Amino acid sequence: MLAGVVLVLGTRRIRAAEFATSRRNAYRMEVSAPVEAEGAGGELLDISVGGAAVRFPRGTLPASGPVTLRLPEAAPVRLQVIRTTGQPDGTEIASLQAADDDWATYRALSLWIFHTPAGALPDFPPGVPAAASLRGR
Amino acid sequence: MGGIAAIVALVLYLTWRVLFTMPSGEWNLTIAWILVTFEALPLAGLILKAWSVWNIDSHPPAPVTEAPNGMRVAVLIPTYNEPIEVLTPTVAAACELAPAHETWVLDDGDRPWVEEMCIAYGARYVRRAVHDHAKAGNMNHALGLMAAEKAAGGPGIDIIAVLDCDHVPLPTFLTATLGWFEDPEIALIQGPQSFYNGGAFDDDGITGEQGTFFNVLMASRNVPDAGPFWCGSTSLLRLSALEEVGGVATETITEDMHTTLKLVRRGWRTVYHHQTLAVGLAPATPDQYLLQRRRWGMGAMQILVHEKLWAAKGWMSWRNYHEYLNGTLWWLEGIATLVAFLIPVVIMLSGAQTSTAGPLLFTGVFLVMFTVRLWGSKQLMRNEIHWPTAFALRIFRVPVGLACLWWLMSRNILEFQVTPKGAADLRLRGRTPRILIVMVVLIAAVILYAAAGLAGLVPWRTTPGSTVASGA
Repeated sequence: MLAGVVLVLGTRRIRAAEFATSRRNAYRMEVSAPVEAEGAGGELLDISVGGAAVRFPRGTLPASGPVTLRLPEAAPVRLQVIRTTGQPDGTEIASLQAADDDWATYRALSLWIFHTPAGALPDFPPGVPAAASLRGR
Repeated sequence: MGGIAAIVALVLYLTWRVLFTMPSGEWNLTIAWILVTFEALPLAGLILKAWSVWNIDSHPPAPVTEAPNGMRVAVLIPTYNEPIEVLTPTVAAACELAPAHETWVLDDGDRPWVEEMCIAYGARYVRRAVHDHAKAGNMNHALGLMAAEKAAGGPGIDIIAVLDCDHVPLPTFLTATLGWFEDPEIALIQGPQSFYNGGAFDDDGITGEQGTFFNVLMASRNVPDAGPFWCGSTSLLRLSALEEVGGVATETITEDMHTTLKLVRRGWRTVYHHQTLAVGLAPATPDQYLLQRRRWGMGAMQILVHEKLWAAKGWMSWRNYHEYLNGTLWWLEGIATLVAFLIPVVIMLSGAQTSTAGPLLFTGVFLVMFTVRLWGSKQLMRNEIHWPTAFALRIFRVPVGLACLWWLMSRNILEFQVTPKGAADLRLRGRTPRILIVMVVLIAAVILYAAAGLAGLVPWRTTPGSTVASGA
């Protein structure tokens, strides 16, 4: 009986949809933090080394093209708006992406995620990077 | 205390079985003893485990601001075909580390964009003309460059830190570990491999399947006359020690463990630094997981044979002998699991009476024993186990075990297969290995037959109690 249970657990895990392959190369971390862009304050929703998802008051960000995003305790980074989606509460969620070969932006995002500046995430214990976020897990 | 509880529970259960449930009759008694012996097999392993992981205390040196004795450090990042999103954070973070050091990116994929990135970040880009022996060969090429540059009058490198290309070092990766090298006998510092991609295939909501290995088993080896083996990443090595053993081993596909054995044979020490200092990507899909585990298992078999580990006591301490021999043989566990599936089935189908206890009593006693064992083992492993996930992943060791056994018999040449760390074009679910499908069908058939037998629908010669004894 135990053997049967183990087999069922294992084969279910193998076939589970959450472990299917993904077209996404960059792992996204759900991290909440205040951000700034185009002179307005917004909220970081998730971040990867190649981009971020942010929430701003509707109309703050262009529908496409470059924007400068300031993460907490970090220098501004240049990202491209890929798409914006209006929300019922009057905000919009924007998907932002680093341009190909923009090594400076990849570096800035990587260091913010893994060498998170002191004070950037007050809810995190000192020295713990944004990569350790357990949100969404 | 958990380990003791698990041992006591199993001992009491076996005592009850032997003193109060053994049947009469030569045939029944013989089969009953076979079953009890089978049930007793885990006891030795449980005792050994409780003894070996009793103490996992860690005593690292104080953090440093400079490498000891003016030693020069190079961080090596071997890479092959990993995408920009995987490689970039590792290189960027490595270049940012203190104290002053060099960062070398060893690109076996000869990719121009990697060279551009290295120039942008201040890392040294290295490629080689001949791509042999995979990661080991790639690293040996870098070691050769270091030796040549030192021979030409350069300052030389004394310590190398090795990071798999998906293992992003945290800010204290070097400052927390370099202090170990004050001890001139230490050749290797190995740190835990921790993973930041939640939802990986072995994610159990705690620290993943490797949490037990890195947070308990490896930590327990920081005792006199023992030490961890090199796990390939999140590690630092003394270059002179590596040179003494001829560089990174290329005879097997688990070059890291094999190199460690060569260092141990020459009297070098290895130590475990129990602190998360880098985070990487765990295999996200079943196929990636199986590919990686098969490589580890078959590499372990290569080491077992190449180093004749069964006869290694002559040059190892007892603790290291136990750890390395058991550590390699562990990859054959899948064979034991397969046998464990078959023995109760055979016994049940034999019709022998293997227990005089009634089905309810037997079930009750067995469940109490099993529950205490699971609880106790989890305590022993410092709560790093999530049993449903552990059981689910255990079945993967059946195809891995079969592959290992097949290699022992065939001794085929093995190729180093890199664990993919990027995306796939199509969204595909995992494929169930064929052997597991066979086992599912077999177990289902036996359970159905047993149930039919108990209901009197088919010939069934044993008692309900014995059916439960074999079937549990």
